[in-house]
Amino acid sequence: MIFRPNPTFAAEMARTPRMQRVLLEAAQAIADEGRNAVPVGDDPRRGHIRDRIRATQQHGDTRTEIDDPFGHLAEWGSVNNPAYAPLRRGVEAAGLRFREK
Amino acid sequence: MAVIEIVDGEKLLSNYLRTHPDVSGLTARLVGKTPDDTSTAWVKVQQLNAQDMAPPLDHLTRFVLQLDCYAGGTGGQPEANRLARVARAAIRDLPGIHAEGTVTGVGFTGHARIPDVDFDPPRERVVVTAVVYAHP
Repeated sequence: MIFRPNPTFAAEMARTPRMQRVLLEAAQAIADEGRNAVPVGDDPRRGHIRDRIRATQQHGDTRTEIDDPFGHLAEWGSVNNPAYAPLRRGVEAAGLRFREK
Repeated sequence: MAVIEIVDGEKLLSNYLRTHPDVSGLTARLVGKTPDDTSTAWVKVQQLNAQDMAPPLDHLTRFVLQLDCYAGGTGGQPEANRLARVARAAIRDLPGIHAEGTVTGVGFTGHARIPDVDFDPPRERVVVTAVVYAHP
């Protein structure tokens, strides 16, 4: 008898309804925690990144994302902005580990 | 009774890289904020997190640090790229005893080329996310 590991096992498991629920809960936890990492000010032109951090699930693909063209500035910072890192901090605050792909 | 503070993760890493021969050989500055003069390369170190790892409380800390490896005005992608790879290689040798604390392990969770578009034209930058485990 020979055991051959299924190379697509993780992907197949992720598509099951139960795992889809688990993944979405994790994505929502990341989003909830990530919103705490970005500032909110009085200026109506700012503070919208919090509203753009979302957990989504479509066609088996689960994501936490910043749905904003300037989202990369919030996550990675710039010469003018510190890195608030809502996604990376959100992952850690949710008790998960971040590994960039 | 004296209070024992957790390690200053930013200071530990910045001081280490500043004096590492491979990093200093690139003549890049190690900074905690954007320098006034952005004509030559620099590495900005920013702490993103400091998690308590195990009892006793706040003895061993897991630091998540972002290194923004910027090219100078004319260095472009090759300079930013090399600066990030040299800094990352130097961090691999970080475990050990330092004036700021003892490092028990390191890791990397990110290494991305993300030009800084707040410059015109965008300035080449590689962002390295490092994890450092340290205790006093």
